[in-house]
Amino acid sequence: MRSLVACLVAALLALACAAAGFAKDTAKDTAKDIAKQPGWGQVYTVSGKVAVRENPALDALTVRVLKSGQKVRVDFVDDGWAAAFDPAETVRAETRAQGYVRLAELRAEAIPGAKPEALPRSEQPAKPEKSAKAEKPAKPDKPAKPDKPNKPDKTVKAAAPEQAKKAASPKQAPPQNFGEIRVADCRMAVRAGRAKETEFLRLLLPGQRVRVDFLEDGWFAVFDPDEKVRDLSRAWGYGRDKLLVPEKDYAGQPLPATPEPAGKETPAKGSQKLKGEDAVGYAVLGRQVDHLRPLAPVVLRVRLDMPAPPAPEALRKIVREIWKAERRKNEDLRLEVLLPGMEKDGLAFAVARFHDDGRLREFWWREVVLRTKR
Amino acid sequence: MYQTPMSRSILLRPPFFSAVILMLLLAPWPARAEQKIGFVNPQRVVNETRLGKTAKADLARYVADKDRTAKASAAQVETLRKEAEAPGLSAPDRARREELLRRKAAQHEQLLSENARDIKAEETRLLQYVMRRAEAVLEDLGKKGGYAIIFTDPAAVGYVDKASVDLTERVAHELDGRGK
Repeated sequence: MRSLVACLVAALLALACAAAGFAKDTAKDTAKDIAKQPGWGQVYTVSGKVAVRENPALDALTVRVLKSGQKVRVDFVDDGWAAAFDPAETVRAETRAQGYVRLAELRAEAIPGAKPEALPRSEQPAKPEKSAKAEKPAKPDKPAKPDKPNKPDKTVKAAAPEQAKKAASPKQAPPQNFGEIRVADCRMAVRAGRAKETEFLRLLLPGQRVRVDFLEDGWFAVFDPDEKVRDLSRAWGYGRDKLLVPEKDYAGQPLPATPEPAGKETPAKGSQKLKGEDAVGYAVLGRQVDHLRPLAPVVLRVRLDMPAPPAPEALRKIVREIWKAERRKNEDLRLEVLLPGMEKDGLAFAVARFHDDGRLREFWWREVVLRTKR
Repeated sequence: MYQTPMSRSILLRPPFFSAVILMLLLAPWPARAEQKIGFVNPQRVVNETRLGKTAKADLARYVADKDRTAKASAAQVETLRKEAEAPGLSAPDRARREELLRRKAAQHEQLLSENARDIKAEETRLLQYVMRRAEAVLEDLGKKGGYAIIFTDPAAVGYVDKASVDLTERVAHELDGRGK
């Protein structure tokens, strides 16, 4: 009897050990899965040109064109359309989308076998943001399969590795004095402090190299890439860490070495394209809140740093970008755009108002202000 | 034979009077210039200058955009109306659709009134912009031309001698010259 009890106890112990080991393995596997989890949506690498539209409709305004080598994150698939996001976007909210792409077009132009890719450093599942609670719950989407075999565009294909090389091999060896060299993953602001509300100081272009250090609260101090002195007073300002990626992780277009001045652009189409790609600096002149009328829009006046007025289509893109950068919380922003030389309180060149999701609700411009000598 | 101061003054009178008359003959031009009056028709300034024409084109574009939104809204109201009037609807369904229609129609009316208000405001802003530039020209013209008054209200003027008083064309020409 005793031996039977001993056998039973031994068997129970063995079972308990096995169960514990299994549980450990399972936990390990789960942890691995979470670590590998690619976040939300799907990241495509575009091999041709894909239009990003303001609304999920073919006749909607094209707000940007994705080019070969560019990555895009898509989600919120509906009726053959998907919302397109910056690949570094961590918050799954349709309001943060850059626009909409046709899935058929994207899959036709995406690299064959495109599938959710491992996230770069900044894309790894971060702490859940408070605002994310209000967003739509992530729903799994089918893995991307090209609808038809790709017919790769030769010129585009040939250009892509070259661009990748350009992006990967900086012209000069980075000084290793302090911090590290990072690249702006998208157009981003350098601000006076470690908060979005602080003064705008300068704009970094996608692909622009900077030296970063003093990481605190998700904000880097941003320096000239050739800066040798590790001194905060020598910093350009502060930039969000998630928008500054290591050079090897940067997959966007390389920064043009010397942007051509507007006057030298000869072909009309080419110049338009250049303008669209070039970043535009701006300065905030004032933010006017009507405290007596809480429903009245907040009027933000900005001055563009452009020698010549942009074309309306380019201006639409510019105002959208400014809206994304300057909108606070859920405010109804009325953006008034001035050009260099125009009176600070005078009639604005362009005015834009937006829907909550960033689409333009109203947009108009006044050529009359260009007719007066500035 | 002596002459009193009075008689001497009498003797001096003829040259004095002639001098005064001469001065009066020479003086009228500046004296008259101080009393010059001019007239400018603001509507013509807007209609006939490049600046004004551009402002009108801006306004037309703005109005067209507002019309586009109004038409889209009207189309939505019409669709809802058709849905609400469709035959064979159950009573609760019809009531629900009518409620939707009522709300949309109210929104449409609000949009129309907001559009009208916005268009009026934009028109005023553009007109003010043009007239502010025209006023700067008027001021220069008034100072240089010696005008004491330049009227800009057609209702306040009964008759205008276009050849001598109407400065509209000069202002328009000057304004165009100042533009790019």
